[in-house]
Amino acid sequence: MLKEKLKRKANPAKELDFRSQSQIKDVWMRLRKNKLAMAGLIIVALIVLAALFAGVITPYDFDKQDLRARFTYPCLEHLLGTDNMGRDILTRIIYGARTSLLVSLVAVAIGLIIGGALGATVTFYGGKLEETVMRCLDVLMSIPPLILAVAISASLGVGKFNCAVAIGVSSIPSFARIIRASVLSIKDQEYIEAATACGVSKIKTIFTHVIPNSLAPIMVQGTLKIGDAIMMISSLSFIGLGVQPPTPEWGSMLAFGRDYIREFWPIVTFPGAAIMITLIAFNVLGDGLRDAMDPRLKQ
Amino acid sequence: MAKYVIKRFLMMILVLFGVLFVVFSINYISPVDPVDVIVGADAAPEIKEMKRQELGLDQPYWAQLGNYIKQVLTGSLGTSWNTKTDVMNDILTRFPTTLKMSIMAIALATAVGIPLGIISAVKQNSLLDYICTFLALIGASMPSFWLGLMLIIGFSLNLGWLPATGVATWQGYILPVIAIGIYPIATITRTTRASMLEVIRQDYIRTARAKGMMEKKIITKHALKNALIPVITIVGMQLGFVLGGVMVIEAVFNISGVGSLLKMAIGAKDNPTITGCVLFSSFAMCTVNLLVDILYAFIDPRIKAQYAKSGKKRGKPAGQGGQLHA
Amino acid sequence: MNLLEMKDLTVQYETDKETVYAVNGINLTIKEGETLGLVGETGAGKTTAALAILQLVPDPPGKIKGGEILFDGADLNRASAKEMRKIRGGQISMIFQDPMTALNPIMPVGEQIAEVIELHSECSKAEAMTRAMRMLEKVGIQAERASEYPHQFSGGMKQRVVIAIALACNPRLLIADEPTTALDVSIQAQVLEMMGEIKQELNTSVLLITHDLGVVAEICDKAAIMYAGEIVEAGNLEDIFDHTEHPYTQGLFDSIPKLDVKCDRLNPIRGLTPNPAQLPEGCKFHPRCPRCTERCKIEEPKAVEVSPGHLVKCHLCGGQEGGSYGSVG
Repeated sequence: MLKEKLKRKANPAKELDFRSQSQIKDVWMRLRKNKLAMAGLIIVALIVLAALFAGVITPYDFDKQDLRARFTYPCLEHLLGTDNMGRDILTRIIYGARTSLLVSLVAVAIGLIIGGALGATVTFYGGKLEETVMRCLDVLMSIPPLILAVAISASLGVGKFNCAVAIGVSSIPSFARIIRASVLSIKDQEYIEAATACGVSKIKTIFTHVIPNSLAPIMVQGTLKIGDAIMMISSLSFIGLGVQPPTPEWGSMLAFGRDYIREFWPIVTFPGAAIMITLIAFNVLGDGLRDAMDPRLKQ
Repeated sequence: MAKYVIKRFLMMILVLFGVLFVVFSINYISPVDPVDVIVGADAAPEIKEMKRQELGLDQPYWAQLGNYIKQVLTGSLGTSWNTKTDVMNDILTRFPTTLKMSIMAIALATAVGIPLGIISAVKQNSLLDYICTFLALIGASMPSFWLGLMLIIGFSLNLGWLPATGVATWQGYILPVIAIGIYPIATITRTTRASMLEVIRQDYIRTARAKGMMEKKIITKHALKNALIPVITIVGMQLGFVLGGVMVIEAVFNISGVGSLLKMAIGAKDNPTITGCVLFSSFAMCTVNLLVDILYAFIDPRIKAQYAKSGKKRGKPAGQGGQLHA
Repeated sequence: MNLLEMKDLTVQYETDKETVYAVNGINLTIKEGETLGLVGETGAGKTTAALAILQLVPDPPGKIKGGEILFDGADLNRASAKEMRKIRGGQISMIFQDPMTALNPIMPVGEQIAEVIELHSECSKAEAMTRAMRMLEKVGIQAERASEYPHQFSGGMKQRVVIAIALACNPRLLIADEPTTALDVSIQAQVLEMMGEIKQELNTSVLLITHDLGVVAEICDKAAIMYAGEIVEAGNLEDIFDHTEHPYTQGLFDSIPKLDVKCDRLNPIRGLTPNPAQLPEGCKFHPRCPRCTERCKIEEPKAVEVSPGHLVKCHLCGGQEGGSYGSVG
């Protein structure tokens, strides 16, 4: 009877729903006030739209060569000029956004799902299992991430999907750690103890309390990791181990443009600027999200 | 303390064997047959078979792994499949360049990042703070290889001040080190700023003010040392980034280092060299992490005390809530 | 002679969103060698008032908006940064509420004490250290422990170290901000006793901030009751304890569980302290006051001296209605 009474008293499910909804609203309100983060969000949105509607936006084909119009400097016809094969650089950058976003999303999804699930379950159950898994992840952690990605992609072979796998796998340990940290902090909270004391099962606790409450750091990290992944993709492609031509990709555009660096600066300048702007947007957005979710951190 | 260091060192060796296992396995699962690459895919089957036996690739996975470990235990990383040279030797001749560039980049990042972060935090919300924060944001978002290319355009091709390739002279190091260093500079600036802001709000800073100390002295004597504790971790972690980044930068500036060796080995499916390079960079990273942890103990007496105790138990109050029900 | 005199001190915290009225025109005096207890609930503005004396109100967002803080006749609100540094730790020092965080975790405690001695007396490093060790012994810690770090001490011990820092330069005024709140009850008594002894020895004036009336009864000469940034009642111990006038003070006494009377329910003051960003009109206490009248809701009461030295800020006190228009204010 006492147990039932306790249960009724401590039944936070409904309130929690309300709270989490209003929490999202709060976060959104705070995020909206952060001008820098909103600018980041808008740029990210524009990049996503450009990537989605690449075919509509640009009149050129990313792979259409026009040997009469090689090395055109930026002009009205070709806003960012043309490359060594006479291809429109802006068009290739827009299609490159499609590649970068797609590959980075897949990579983050791989890292997040495997790393997150691994981190959350072993941490919640604890014990020997946790110890073993975390030690194994330590091993992966002690290989510099780019070198690990290089090794994986060297073994699997090049290409979009393998590149995503290489980057995703090399980000598993850091995702597992982030989620472990957030689960650990939640695990010791009193409301988890309260739930356990009320007889809520472990699985249910994970789904109703642990996961919703660790979503915030995961979202922030996810955003920031997309930026990291884009950087890694371009690095891998730059050294010839990532996305391969003819697929347009910013890093490989730089690698092939390098040969013409002496004569024609637009060919190396603009793809890199595209990477930088995209990363700035994601970083600003990620930082803004973090501040909005944890207003205590910002002062 | 000595006990702790020894324990950590043994752990590190264990981790390196883990790395060896991981890299070996990654190479093993490759869908590409190294023999095809070495002797050519259309070589006669007998030649292929001979090569396979010569390299020991006809043996099962565990035997291959065992042989490799045996080799490593005798202090050898094997012979390159491609150039037939000793892998350890290949790496050791190229490693100093890579290491030099990495250390210089980290030193540059620390020397620039920490002061910028401190200024930013102490003058929070001033114009100076905004400039530092903005620069750090750009630095963290700039691909190092692109910065390298831009630096070449600016300082080598247009101004002609610095060489665009190679590290034959000391001037050759300047551009690559800046290119690698930009990301660590940004990260260290951001971390220092955040950590400093956190520390400045602590009660013990108020205590120092209540003692009648000068604000400048409060920052240097009380705040800085406390604020640097998390920064040290970040500096250590940056080395991992830098070791990877150097590889790309070596390609930009045509520098012959471990990165270019690895790149060559990948093209030739030269597994012993690949494994050796990865092992070596992990070794460097683990060593730095160990050094960072030891450095911690010198700065933070609380951690030193933990080390002294750590032999006994890894304290972790976990999952006691469940027993309420039993 | 008055060592410290606060006149109409007003402190506010201003953010983009709101203004927090933390301290609203308080008057206080402390004589040489006297101990004044400043009593009030959490959020009444006690700590802000104390920080204002040392000019340590965190700025931004805090600002001292008006009034004077006369220390030995000189207004601290107008003191230069350099003058203030001489006063802090030397003439006026402060014990903070939470000893757990008040000490620098990576500096040996002896050094933290020696630091304040070095700042305020011209002596060598070695001599400062010797004096620091003597100070440690005075607060009941072996001098050899001077080289240890804060994490090696218990909470009570840490508070002793904080007290040693505060008293190291024989300050004339000691501000103790809830010095025992964070400690176990048994340790509380020890620390209070020790503070009392040292105070006697050095003839220091003390401003003791607390919410514990028992502590006030034990070691204070005078008391001031603070509510929502105002002092609602002030006087000597007899005035406050035996001739309680203000309904809030009365409420505080009523909420103390009595050992000798058995009752089913405690008798708390109903309601909560008002949000200092939105203080009520009229008397700040009226929404919670059991004797609230229409007048209390609109008109702010003035302080009335009901007997010499006993000031009350209430329309209903001072013998008659309209007392606030009387001769003393």
